[in-house]
Amino acid sequence: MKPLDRYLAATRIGREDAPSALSVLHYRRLARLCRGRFRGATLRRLKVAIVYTLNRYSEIVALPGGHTLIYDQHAGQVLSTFTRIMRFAEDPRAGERVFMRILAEESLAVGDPHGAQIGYSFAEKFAPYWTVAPIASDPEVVIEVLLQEMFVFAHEYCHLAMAGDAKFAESRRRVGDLLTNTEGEESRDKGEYKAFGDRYGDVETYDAFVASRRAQRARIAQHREALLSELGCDDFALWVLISICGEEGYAPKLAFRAAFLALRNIRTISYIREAVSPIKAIADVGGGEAALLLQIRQHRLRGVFGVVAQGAGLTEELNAFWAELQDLSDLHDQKIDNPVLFGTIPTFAEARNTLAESETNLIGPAGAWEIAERGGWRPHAAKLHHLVV
Amino acid sequence: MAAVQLEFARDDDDAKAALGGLPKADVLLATPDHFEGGHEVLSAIVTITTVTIPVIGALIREHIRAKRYLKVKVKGVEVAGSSLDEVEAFLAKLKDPG
Repeated sequence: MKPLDRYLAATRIGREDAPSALSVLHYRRLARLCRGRFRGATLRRLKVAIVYTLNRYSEIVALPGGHTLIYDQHAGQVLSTFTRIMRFAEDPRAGERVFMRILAEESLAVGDPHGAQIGYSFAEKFAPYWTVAPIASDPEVVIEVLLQEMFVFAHEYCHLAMAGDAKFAESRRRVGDLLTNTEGEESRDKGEYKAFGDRYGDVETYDAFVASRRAQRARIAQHREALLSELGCDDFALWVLISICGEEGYAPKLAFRAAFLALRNIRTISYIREAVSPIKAIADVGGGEAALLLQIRQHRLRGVFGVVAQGAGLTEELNAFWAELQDLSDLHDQKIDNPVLFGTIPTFAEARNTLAESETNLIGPAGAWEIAERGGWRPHAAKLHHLVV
Repeated sequence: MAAVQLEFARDDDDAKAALGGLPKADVLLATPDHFEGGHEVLSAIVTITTVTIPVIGALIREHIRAKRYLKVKVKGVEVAGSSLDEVEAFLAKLKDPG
């Protein structure tokens, strides 16, 4: 078996059918758009494998023979579905079907059959409220989703370029260093608190606001090394989006919206992942960091949107957009993050724990796989379907 | 044949040495980099055989004792065990599911 086949079969659970042939055209285009942005950097030969798996994550992996970007359509689907809920859902219960299904699948991914049962059961219960317009009902939203996927692609390509070109890597880390430099930011706390209060009213005292900002800066300092490359590649991905919008005639604000939303949506998935029953790893000395790091990345990248826009000569065009961005953040909170954090996850956790106490016949990965098979997944398959673009 | 995925820190020389002693055909070493970031890890795909099970078991025992990062997964699903016996029993079952 080829190394990629072996790696995919061992690390993921796929479905009976392969990703569609149309996917090849779509992702081949995304890959070509990405490759065209690397001028002056040595780009290693990169294979792109499109999969659709229960595990729902994308990665670049170095295997014997070269690097492969494994892009999971199932993860890309979340970007699309969350955007759809955010833009079109009218009933506050509309997203629950999706959120609970994701909890079910993430439970399967950590070998928790009780969580899976509860998640699927709730997803079915909330199905009647899923009356959300398709993405295609608004062409601008179609582009917004496409650009989010593009952001993820471009970010991964950037990592690949860094691995093969020391100068490029150093330049990206320098950008990451700038984005994580919090020196002097305390002086802005007062002004930002006023702006916060003007928009949201008297919901937080000044002391609490400053304490929260101080804690954020401490976390950035703590995770700075890990953030250098990640933010360097997030910045790169944003520039890729700006350049694509310029070429394709899309409004430049869509690049910033997509970069913002991609990180917000993936952060929501991290919240869900951290909420599923924590079956402890054999020896796990660190965990739960993903959502925190994504939050920092999203805040820090957003913090330089103005500078990036200036660098791209877009200041005038985007003048009105910055207020819209806060509206977008509030909308995501209202339609996605708040329902997930304060509704879906607590409801799920309570039901899951009650079930786990009373039902002990479904244990561990074997029990999870039994439920996965009923959901159309193929955990026992010797090979994972994928398409190479 | 059934395989297990061992995920450990990239600077974990002990894990690399232990796996380096196994038949080459039974171990596929990969360096993954996830979009969400997180730990810098190596991923070893190890075919489950009568030769590899005790080595995997010893690796797990040592990492529990030293509280070092190690995840054991099958098809991406984490295998958990508060005791070594549970994990070895699970691996043996994967090798011979009948």
